[in-house]
Amino acid sequence: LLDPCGRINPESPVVQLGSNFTAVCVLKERCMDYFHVNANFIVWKMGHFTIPKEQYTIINRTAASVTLTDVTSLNIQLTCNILTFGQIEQNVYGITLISGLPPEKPKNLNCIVNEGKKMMCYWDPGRETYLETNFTLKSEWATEKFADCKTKRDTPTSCTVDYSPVYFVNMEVWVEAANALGKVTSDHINFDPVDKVKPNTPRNLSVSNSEELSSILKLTWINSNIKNVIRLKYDIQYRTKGASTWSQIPPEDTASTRSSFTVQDLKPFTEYVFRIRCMKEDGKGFWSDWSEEASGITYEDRP
Amino acid sequence: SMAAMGSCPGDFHVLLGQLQKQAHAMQDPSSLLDPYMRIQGLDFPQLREHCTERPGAFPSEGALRGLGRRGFLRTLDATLGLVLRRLAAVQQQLPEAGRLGRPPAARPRAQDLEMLKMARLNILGLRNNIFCMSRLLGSSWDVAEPTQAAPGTSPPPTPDPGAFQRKLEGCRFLRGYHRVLSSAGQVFGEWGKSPS
Repeated sequence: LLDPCGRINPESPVVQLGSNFTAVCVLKERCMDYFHVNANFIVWKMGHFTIPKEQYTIINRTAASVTLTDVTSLNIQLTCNILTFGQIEQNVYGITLISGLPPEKPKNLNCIVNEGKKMMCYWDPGRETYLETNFTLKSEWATEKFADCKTKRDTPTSCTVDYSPVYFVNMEVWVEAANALGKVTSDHINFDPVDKVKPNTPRNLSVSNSEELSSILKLTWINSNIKNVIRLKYDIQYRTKGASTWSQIPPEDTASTRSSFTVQDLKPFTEYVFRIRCMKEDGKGFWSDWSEEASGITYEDRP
Repeated sequence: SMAAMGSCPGDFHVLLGQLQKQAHAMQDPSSLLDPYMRIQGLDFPQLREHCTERPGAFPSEGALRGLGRRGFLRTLDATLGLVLRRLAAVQQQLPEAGRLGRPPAARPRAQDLEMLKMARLNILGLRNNIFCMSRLLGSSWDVAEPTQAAPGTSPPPTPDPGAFQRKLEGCRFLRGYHRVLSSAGQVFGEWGKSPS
């Protein structure tokens, strides 16, 4: 590699968009002697564009600086060159100037425990920073610190911890965002993971009619294992076959853990479609996904 | 001592509710003793009969009740510390069991190993809440020894009284552990009924 005729400081700068930036080019004596030049012969360029001399400052015989004001480009090739023998432009050194923004305070941090899986937390990262910005999820108990959860490049706004959720133990969670221009921390949130559960969907929803009563259909289903940890409530919706809008069973009727429910006041000899979902009884956490739909036909009315 | 960090619930009844639910869940032998027996190859009816709590190994429910709240918390925490060390010794021996060429069928099932891991995390969680409760009751509290969320170093295994006997001893120990947690659940239940 040819030994360069000088160097630019700083070597690989990152600057905030809209700010000013100054670089210094220092020539080597050997080159100055060889080309009979000094700092006055320096020509700064941004890509192919020559920067006006007004923005230069001759520091001493070997060094000159240039100041870029209100940097708006994200990526600038800045070169220091010398005009040799009066007209040949000889490159001395070059740097890449990267610009962007410091991270904003991550907001709306929240976490979800999908039943049977590890806790995943997510947040709003704030404005685009145009820089590689790393997010680290921190979590701890009063007596334990858990391993940092570092986001992956393709999912910068969520992180899944590497330990299983421990219910009934309050934990504190927060996010740190950092890039070359700064580091910032989200608000801390404090919760019991049991209040962040998204249960698995109730399974095997089935519908059966009643010969005695043509206006009812009985639903049965299987709750997921989370029923051993939390009490559940349900949303049950139904519609007649072919209809598009769902009717809802009054929530107060399905406000406790159960595995069956009898829907009343239905029309005789009519096919109905049902679906169900569940969540923690006190409303903390997340609704499960809707179950598979199940349908049944009410019994005919007696003549 | 472990620096106290900020996430203890500030409400006595919330914390007590958590402790009660933890004790209820962890007193169930399916959470630790059963996977331990499967892992150690003790999962046979005739062996289950031998797997009884060793008298005097753990405080009785009456003794726990008589300790008063702070003493009860301290004793429960110390008991859990013992269990953690016992678990660490068992987990240390498991890779060796795998290396000694046990036939695949006899090798610990991944699910059982995961349950051991989860049991350890639950014990750490219960100790965390014990720490929080003791702080709420106003007593200064040093976590007995540094505990790490990730498995750390553990004491060397006790002198080997013979592998089978050691396993059976572990079984009796964990039988006692589950009983202590059942007793603790009772005591915590009574806390809820009387203000202090």
